[in-house]
Amino acid sequence: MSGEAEVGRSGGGTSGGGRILFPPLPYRMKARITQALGNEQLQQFVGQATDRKTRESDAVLTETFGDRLGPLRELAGRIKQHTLDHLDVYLERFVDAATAAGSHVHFASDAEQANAICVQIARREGCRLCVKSKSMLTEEIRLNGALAQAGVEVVETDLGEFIIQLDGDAPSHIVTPMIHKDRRSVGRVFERKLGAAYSEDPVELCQVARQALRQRFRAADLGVTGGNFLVAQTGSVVVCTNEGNGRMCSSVPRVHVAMVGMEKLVPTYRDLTVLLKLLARSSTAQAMTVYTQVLTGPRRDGERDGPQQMHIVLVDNGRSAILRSEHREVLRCIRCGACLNRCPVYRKLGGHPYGAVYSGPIGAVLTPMLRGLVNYRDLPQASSLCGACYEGCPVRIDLPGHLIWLRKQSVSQGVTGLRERIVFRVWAWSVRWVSTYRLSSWLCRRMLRAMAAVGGNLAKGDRCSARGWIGWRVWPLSRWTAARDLPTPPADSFRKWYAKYRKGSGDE
Amino acid sequence: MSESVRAEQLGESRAAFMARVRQAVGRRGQAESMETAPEVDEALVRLVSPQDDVVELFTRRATAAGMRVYHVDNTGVAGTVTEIVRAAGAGRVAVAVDGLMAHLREAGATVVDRVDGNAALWELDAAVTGVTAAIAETGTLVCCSDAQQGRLLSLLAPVHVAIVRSSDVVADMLDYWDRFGGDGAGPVASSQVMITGPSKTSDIEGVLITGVHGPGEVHVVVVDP
Repeated sequence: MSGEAEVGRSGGGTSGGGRILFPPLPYRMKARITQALGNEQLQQFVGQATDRKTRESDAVLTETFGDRLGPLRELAGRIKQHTLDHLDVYLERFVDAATAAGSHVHFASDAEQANAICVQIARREGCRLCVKSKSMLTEEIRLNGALAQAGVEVVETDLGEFIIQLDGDAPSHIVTPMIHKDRRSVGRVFERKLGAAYSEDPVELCQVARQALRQRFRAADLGVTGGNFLVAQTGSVVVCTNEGNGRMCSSVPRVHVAMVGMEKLVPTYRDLTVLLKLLARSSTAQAMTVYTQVLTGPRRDGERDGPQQMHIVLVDNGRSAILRSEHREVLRCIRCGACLNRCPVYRKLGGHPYGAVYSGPIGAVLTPMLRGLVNYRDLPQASSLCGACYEGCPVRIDLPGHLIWLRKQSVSQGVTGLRERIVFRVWAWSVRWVSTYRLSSWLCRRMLRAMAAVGGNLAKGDRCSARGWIGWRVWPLSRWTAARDLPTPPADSFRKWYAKYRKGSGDE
Repeated sequence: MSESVRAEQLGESRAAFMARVRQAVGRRGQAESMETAPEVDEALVRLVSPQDDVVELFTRRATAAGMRVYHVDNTGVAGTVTEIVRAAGAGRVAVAVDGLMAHLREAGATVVDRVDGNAALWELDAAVTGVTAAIAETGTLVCCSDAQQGRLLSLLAPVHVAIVRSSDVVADMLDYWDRFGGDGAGPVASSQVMITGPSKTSDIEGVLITGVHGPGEVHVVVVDP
């Protein structure tokens, strides 16, 4: 989390980055949605980037797997589901194997405990400078702030996260965190914070970052990574990166801490293979991420380099509650970002309106489950339920199904808004009896036709196209008609027309 | 810091953590009658058969991933490596493969000796390493940490030259684990890194840039005996 490093330095309140992903609760999406919809550049950026990723990813998946894609996703989902169904067994196996390989395994029930463990390790080993590779879990638990408060300087080393940290901004995508920023903002922040000459050339900007970060890697005494997978059989942590910063963080500093959600387990290397074959292709349309590290303990006797200590912190932080619920399959998620890239809502808004670390469809499901539906009641509504997320999911999580369930929960828990409750109460009344149904549909037809008449667009005749369109531009219908045409309804109801049609047998 | 202090476990106790997980999955008593894991069906998962021309496929896929691939016989290794190092303008070179030092020195390169620790690695211009295996399906190199090359050698230099014996090219990742993944036959290396291309980022407006933290150039010399 970007803002937090500055919190530690200044000892002050939460900076911009912190508020974006950790807004005051209960969180309401509307203000940020309005803001995002008014930002054409953001929409263009996010829209183009996600569209390209989706097309490339679909092409690679089809080319590589052909007809096998469906069954392979099914298998990947079953492997993860099986592991979750027996998570206790696989966790025990993992802890034993990791310990045997020389790693220290720690357990954290919540974010606070997870941070405390990392801080204690840093204190005990006298670490002052932490280099960190990209990790959603550490964003979720706000590790950077905790380390900074303990006097440990934290440097994000993924290029996107580095830029976001320097700029006091917040990541907006699981895989490509600065999807919402352009090269000019990068040039400006490097000029301001690193004293580099202003540039708009991405190659030059990369070189600036490379030079700045190499100094930090060399000096760091603590490396923190996440973990994409944990292999129970061998006690290995698997870290997938493209830039090489993950390798730096787990190879150069004398202490390596991997902070990992407890749901990341797979039983064996063969199971891992199934998931690795799908992960990068679903995520960035690559066959493999450039670097896939399988780390099994610290430096061994006789090895030339690598950390002297490897710590693995297994984090619950609300996951056991999901594991216990009927929504266990949500924990299959391997954080590929395919559902974000495919979601028409995410594509329009980017990640920040979700008001949480996890955005897009998986965020709309996971965030209310982890942080309370009452705090995030808008998120399950931020979907057209088109199912594109489900279609793209490599582990077959029924995201639309979970969204619908959360909507039902909203109603049964009474967390929906007053206006919504009134509208649905009226609607329920109107369809409850034949008489009220006839009355309400008659009323609606008359009103809409009146609007069309006032708008001057009510054509004669009875075919749909010939009836014309409603030109009414007055609130609240203007919310619809400003952007879309609404056809004028016919004068009579379908039931009446049908009765006439039957009598006249064929007379339209 | 003493070993006993280091081993001290922080946070929640393992027993408490596990009890919560057991309760969440609905486990009562022991887990002897656990259902078996879904079978990783080779017909579904395997993308390349060992019967295929794996070296040819590896060459194509590695090239597609952005690496340069050379084919030589035993006698051609030194010459090709020297040529790559010279073309890259590399002055300071580290070598973790036997029999190349003399050639590189002759060609004017400064061969960095690693006995003095790892500091010199940060100033390298190129590094020459072996690999544990290569995977044809994705054009991937696998470098395991060992006494000779550790974790950093294939990471810190801007130019990485990897020597691959053609017999070490496996068809599919499944074959890599079968041959090198331990599976009870001995401990795996502390670090197994699968490398598929030069270091890459597309964080800035989706523009693909190589060499951001790791090597910007990866040269693969495949040796056919």
